[in-house]
Amino acid sequence: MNYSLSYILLIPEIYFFFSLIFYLFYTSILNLSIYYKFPNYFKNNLYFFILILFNISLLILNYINISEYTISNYFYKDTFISLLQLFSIFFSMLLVLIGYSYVKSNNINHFELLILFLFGIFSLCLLTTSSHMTSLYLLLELQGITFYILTSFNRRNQYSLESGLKYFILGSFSSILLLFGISLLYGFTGLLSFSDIYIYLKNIDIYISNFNFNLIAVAFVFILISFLFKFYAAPFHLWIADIYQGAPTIVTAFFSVIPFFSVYYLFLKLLLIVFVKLYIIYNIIIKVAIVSSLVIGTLGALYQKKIKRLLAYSSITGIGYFLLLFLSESPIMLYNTFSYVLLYSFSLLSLFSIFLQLFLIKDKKYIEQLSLLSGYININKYASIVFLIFFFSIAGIPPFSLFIGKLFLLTNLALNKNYFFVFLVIIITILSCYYYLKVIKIIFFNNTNKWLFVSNFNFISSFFLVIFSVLHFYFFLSPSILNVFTKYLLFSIL
Amino acid sequence: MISVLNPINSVLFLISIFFAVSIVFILLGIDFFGFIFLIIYVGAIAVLFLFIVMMLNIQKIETDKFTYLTIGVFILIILFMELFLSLSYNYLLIFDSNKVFFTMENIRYIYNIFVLKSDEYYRFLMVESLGVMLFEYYPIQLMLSGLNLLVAMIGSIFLTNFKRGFSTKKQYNQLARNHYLINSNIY
Repeated sequence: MNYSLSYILLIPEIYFFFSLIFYLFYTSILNLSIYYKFPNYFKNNLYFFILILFNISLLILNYINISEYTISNYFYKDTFISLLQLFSIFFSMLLVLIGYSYVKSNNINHFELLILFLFGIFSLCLLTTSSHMTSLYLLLELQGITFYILTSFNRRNQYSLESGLKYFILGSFSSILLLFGISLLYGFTGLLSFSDIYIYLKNIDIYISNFNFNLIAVAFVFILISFLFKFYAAPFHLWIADIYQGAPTIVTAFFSVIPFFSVYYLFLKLLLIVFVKLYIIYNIIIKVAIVSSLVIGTLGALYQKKIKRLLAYSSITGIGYFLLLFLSESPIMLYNTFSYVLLYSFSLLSLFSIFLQLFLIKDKKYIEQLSLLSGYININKYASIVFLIFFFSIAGIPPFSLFIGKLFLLTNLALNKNYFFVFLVIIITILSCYYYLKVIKIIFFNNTNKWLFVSNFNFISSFFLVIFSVLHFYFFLSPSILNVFTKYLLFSIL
Repeated sequence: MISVLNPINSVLFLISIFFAVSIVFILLGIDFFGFIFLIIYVGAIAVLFLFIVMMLNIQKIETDKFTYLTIGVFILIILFMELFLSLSYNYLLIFDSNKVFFTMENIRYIYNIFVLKSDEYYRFLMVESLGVMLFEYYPIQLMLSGLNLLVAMIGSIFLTNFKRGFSTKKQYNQLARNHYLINSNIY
């Protein structure tokens, strides 16, 4: 075991850990000082937060060209993993900058918010690197605990507390399943490291009915189902709409956009490398999950009247699209699915970032009901055009980015002759166009007598909204730009 | 026969029984189980019992002596028979049957194991090998679990702190007999 050199590769994460502890002490001493009578320096804390994340992203860029195990198989670093870490850091920076006005006007500008955000980003960054069952479980748990607290962060609101409790029950149930699967696996094989499990399974002949193999399959099914719980894939999606609705919008955006990179990457790693020998077993489970999440996601979203519930159901449908990867054997599908994940989470982020701005001055609350948006074109012409771009993009209508992702997925499925799934996806896409375009119809064509008093967009968020809407065009025009990131995936996974 | 009338005292006696059981485990050589038994039963379950006893506010306790006495004596005889059988066959305990009680020889034996650290020591102390495993091979995991506890602590402080901020908890609603009428929006 060589400890001496291996810690150097984890320098960004170690720096992250120490700066996180320092940030905790700094903010708690500053914001709880009796001498200054409990001041609220939220902007100060925000700048410090951004600075820490910026430094870490520079460090990650410095260590980007490596692919090695660090600290004796507990962590594995790779170019693609570093890119994923950069993505999650960058997206959360954008989210916090855009959601600053939301935090301030909802009176949740306590310093604990940013501490918990930092803890969440730290756990997600380390989660991508983990290549050992113990570190995987502990980091998933750390991520889960931060998200439960963040969900119930708005203590004034009973719905927020309720959704936090629901998320806690759901998440702890799934992590119990994960832990049970890991302990069964350890009991039957005595192995915890990903590479060891891979080598062990490689040497088993599955067609000879082997007692040990069946037991490993049982353990693996527990792990798989806990991961499906973590994604909110459809048979395990209970309460997810309530959780999305109850949580503060910035937190909803945080846990619906950012964990996808790391958790989905880890899921791919487990299924495509470590347990690839068990393809016969997980194939049918994944197929059931795909069909049910596509159908339930669209049918549930048809009748939603609130924006966050709509996005919750649409994210369930998104999971159905993500899992289409396991239907085809071609490695090109990997690129396409991961570029779809990137584009989908980007368009979710942009949608959330525009809904974080719609503050009703008279009612002192944010717009939640879709019907309140009626006739919004008369109030703010440019913002409604941005709405149009984002909703067209997420619906998959041609001149915008997510069309490309859906097109690539469908062509790959058709090449693999999965015609059932091709037609299912086409029908689902047409149905999902209905509920996305309904919002556009409400904004552009509905008329009401009531006049909305919506606050102005602040400078930073409007700047980023313009950049997002330009990027939605740009990814349509040159989708090959995504290959800059996804070309490292093949080295990382296979 | 019930000799202790106060339920809190009887819970304290229960804790002493847990202590004795954990000592038996340690003497059997499975000392990790002994310590875990102590931590879980005394640390969590006995404290829970104490809370429940304090909340229920039980005042009346049956003082019927004879039924408890007969059953108790019967169980006691069976237990003693088991103990003597096991001692005579040298079946359960790892010590010799001569060394079970606190003789000078037995004390010297324990002194050899724990203080002089003879070969027996390394077999005996499973906890130490567990600690070596944790700190030598899984230091990062130990730190991460500590971080988990830190986040849980921050969250619990923030969510239950109502000096600085606001709390939705209303004590009078929780204590009211017909709280479901007041909090009808929850149900």
